[in-house]
Amino acid sequence: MQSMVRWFLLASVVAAPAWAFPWMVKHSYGSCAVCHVDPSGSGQLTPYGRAQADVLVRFRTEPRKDDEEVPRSANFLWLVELPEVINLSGNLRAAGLLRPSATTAPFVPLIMATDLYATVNLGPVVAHVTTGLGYSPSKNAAKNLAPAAIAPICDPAVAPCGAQWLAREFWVGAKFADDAVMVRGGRMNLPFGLRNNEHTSFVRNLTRTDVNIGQQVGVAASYNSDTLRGEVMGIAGNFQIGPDIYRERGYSAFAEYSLAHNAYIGASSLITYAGADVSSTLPTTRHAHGLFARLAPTEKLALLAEADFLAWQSPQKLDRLGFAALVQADIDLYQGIHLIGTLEGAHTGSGEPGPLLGGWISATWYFLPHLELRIDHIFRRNASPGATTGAFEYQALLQLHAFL
Amino acid sequence: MAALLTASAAFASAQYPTTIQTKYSLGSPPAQSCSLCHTNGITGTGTVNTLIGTALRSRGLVSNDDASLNTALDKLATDAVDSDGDGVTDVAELMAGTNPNVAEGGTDGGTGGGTGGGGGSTVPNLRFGCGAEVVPGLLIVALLPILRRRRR
Repeated sequence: MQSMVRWFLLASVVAAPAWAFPWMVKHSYGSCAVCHVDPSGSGQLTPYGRAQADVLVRFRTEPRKDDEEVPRSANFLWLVELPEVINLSGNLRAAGLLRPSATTAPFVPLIMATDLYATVNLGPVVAHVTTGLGYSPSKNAAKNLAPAAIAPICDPAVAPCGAQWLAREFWVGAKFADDAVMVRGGRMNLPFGLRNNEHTSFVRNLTRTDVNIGQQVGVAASYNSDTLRGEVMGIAGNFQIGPDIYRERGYSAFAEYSLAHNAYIGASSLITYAGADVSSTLPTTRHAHGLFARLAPTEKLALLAEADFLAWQSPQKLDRLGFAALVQADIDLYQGIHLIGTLEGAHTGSGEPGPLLGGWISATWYFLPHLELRIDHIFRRNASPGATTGAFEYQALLQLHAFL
Repeated sequence: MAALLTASAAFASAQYPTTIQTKYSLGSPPAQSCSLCHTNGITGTGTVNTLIGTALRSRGLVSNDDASLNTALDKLATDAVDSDGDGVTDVAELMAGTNPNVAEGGTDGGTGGGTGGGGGSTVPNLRFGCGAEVVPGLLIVALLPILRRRRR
C-alpha cells in the first residue's frame, strides 16, 4: 500500500490527448468530423470512428475481410452497445519517462490522463463534456495541468496544486446543412494547425493550441466538406484560470483545402490579447499565423508539416518575434504498427542563445482493441534562458494508453 | 509527452537567490525567491520574464551559470537600470531588500498599459482551478430561461 501511495505521489498527472490522427489522410480521411465528436478532430470518437479504429487502426495478423463485421469489442468498455442518443468513452494513459542525464528523478512514472467523455446527441443538438482527475506534485507541474482544472483553486507561486478536478471540454453545439456546419459554444480546443498527438511539440506548445491544456471558452463555427474544412472561434478566455487579467481574448481559425484525396494544405491564424500574459505578466497581444500540410504519397506513408510565425507585442516594447515548425513522417510498418519520425524547431524571441530544436523517433503499436503501446525517443535542445543552456537532452517516454 | 515540460525543473537555477545573497552580503536571499526573475515563481523554459529577469537576460544571464548571473548583475549596476521606474536602481533595491519589479509607493504595474511595469508582483498571482467560481454562474445563466418557463 505504501509503495502505491509513493507511486501516486511521484506521479505527475499530466494529461495527454486521446486519439488525434492527422495521418488518417493515408486512408483518404481528410475530414475529422466523421470520426470525432469535435468537428475539427481529436478526443472522443463517434460510433463510426470507433468502428474505423477497429478496421483501420488496430493491429491485425491477417488482412481484414471485406464482409467482416465490426466486433463487439469496438464498443464502449469493449462490450457495451449504447443507444444513439448517448456516447460514452474515456482516455486513460500511463507512462514512464526516462531521463538518463537528469541528476534528480532520472525516471518519473506518470499518470497522464484519466478522462471520461460523454456526449448526448439530440437530433441536430450535441452536448459534450469531458472530466477527470489530475495531480500536480510541484509548482512547475501545475502549468501542464492546472489550466484545465475546475477546482480546487490553487496559487502555484505559493504551493503546488496537488489533486484537482479537471474539465477540458464542455460545449453545446448544433449541426446544420446535412451536418456540414456546426456552431458550438463552451470550452473547446482552439482551431489551429495540425491537431497532432505530440502536444508538447513546439508548434502546439508555443501557439498554445494543444489538446492537453489549450482549451478556452468561446463560440465557434465549423465547416466540413469533401474538399474544404475549417473552423473559426471567438475566444472569450480560459475561465478556469484567474484573475480575469490573465484571460486571453481574440480569435483562432484554420481552413484546410483538399488538393487531392491524399493531399491537403491549410492555413491558420490566431490573435489574442491578455492584460497579463500567463508567462510574462505583461499586457500582451499574441500572434500566431501559419501554414500546414498533410500528404499521403502511398497508403503506408503520411507526411505532415506545419510552420507558424509567432509574435508577442507589449506596450513595454519588449516585443518578440519567433517561429515554430514541425515535419513528421508516419509509416505503417504493418497494420497497427507505426514508425514515426519528427523534426521540430522554434525560436521564442530575441536575446536568446539559439533556437529550440527537437527530433523524435517514435513507435506505436495498437496491439489490442482500444489499447496502444507507444515509445518516444526524444532529443531536444531547449535554448531559452531559464532552462538548459543549449545542450541536447535525450528522453525516452513509454506509454500505455487505453480508450474506453 | 506533457511531462517533457515538467522536466525543465532539473535545469532550474535554484542557487541563484543564494548567489545574490552572497554577492551583496545580504542577511538572507531576496524575499521574492524564484519570483524575482520567474513569472509567478514558476521556473522553467521561457519563464524568466519579470522586469529584472528580462533585464538580466538581456545582459547575458543564462540558467545554472553563476558567472553569467554575476556578470549580468554587474552590467545592471553599470547601466543603472531601474526596471520599475521608482527612482531606485534594481541593484540598490536588491541590496536594500525591496522588490526591483515593483515601484515603491505602488505605481501602475503594467496592468494599465503604462510604461512603468509589468512582470512584477503588482499583477495579482495567477490562480488555477477557478472553474468552481465561474462554471456555476455560467450554468445558472444557461438554466435561467428553462426555470422561468417552468414557473410560467
